[in-house]
Amino acid sequence: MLDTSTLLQVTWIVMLLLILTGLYQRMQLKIWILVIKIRLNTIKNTFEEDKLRVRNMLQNMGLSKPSLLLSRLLDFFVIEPVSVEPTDIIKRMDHLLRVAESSVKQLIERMLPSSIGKHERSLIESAISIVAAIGLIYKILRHYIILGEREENYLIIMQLVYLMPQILKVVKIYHEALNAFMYGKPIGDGVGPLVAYMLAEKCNIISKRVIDETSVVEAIYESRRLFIVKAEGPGSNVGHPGAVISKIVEELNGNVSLILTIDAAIKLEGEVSGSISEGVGAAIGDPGPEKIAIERVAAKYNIPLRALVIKMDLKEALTTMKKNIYQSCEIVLNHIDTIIRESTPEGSTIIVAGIGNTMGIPG
Amino acid sequence: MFIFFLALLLYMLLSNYFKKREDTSSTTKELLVCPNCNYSVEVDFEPGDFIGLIKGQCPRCSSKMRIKGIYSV
Repeated sequence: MLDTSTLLQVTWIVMLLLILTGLYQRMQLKIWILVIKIRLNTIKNTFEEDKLRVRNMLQNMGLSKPSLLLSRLLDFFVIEPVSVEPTDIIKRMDHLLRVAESSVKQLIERMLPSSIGKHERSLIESAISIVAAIGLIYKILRHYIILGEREENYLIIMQLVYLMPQILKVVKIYHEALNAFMYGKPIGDGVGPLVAYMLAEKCNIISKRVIDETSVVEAIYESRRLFIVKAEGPGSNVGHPGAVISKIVEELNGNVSLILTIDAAIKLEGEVSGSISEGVGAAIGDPGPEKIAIERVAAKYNIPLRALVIKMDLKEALTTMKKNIYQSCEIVLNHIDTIIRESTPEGSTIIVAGIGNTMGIPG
Repeated sequence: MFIFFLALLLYMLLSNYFKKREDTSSTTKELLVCPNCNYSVEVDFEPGDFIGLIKGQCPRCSSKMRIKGIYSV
């Protein structure tokens, strides 16, 4: 019989051998690969479940072969413009983004029965893009796990295992966001358009028009001429607020006293959800073309560019709007009122833009 | 040494168990407001509804009510 001290000695020798021969690392690698594969399977199940939900949604809308549409759109991609030569990159990027947007819209419109309205089509478009995002995450992860396992690359696997909790969290958020997009509920990101809608309700409206999927309301507020810009609702749409603001300012020959943008912003951990911050600049989170359009026109005519942001986390931004965020809209309206009174004289012209997805919010 | 490791393991398991769990259950509500008498009521969301939609009658003055807000609680 072995006594305790001999057992301990054998254990230490085995451990030492494992460390010296590198077997410990190989064992660790195998455990990590197993952990990643289990989590990857969770992502795959989420992807398949959401794909099925969208497929059923399409079938309910009268599409006989939803797989055909899904197979074309789930792998749809946009190639980034050349950036080593940055001349006119914004123009090229804007062109590519608009072509991508119109291509997807046309494809959905062509394949769906004509009885399906613009509103429903926009919901389908967004729902498919969410499923596509989950699918892309799954495929990228699967690529790296296969690569890491085949090459026995400790670094790739280690990074994956440490990033997995965050990636899973994002996938879960997308999965939850699908519910809002399937039923057309306002999401947290829609706080900008909601504020714009509420502001328009408080004004004496002179005219309404839609330019480039973006609604423009001309109104009188506190003896000032107001142009309220937001994406055209109530479908899932972000519009083209940058291009439209630029157009309005050009139409007015630069006679604008203030451009104020209102948008949702991702909060830092520890910050209170629904809290409001005030600043300078264009509060808009597009890839570039819309934001630069606002900045350029403001700089060209020396127009003050002010911003109000409503803080929330990613989950709150992409899922159904939380009650506290909805309630913060009234406070934002008070902030707008203060900024307008403080920075502009009576009789001046102001542009107020509510930036974000206007799903469930009309106008 | 053994007791120390056991205590550490126990602490890790317990701290994980008692970690604040996120409350994922939520329902979507609609805030219906009567433009005439300001009566408001919270009802469940119905697919297809959006903010500004005229929906239902006010139990107080029989005016048509409007959806003022849609949010999750």
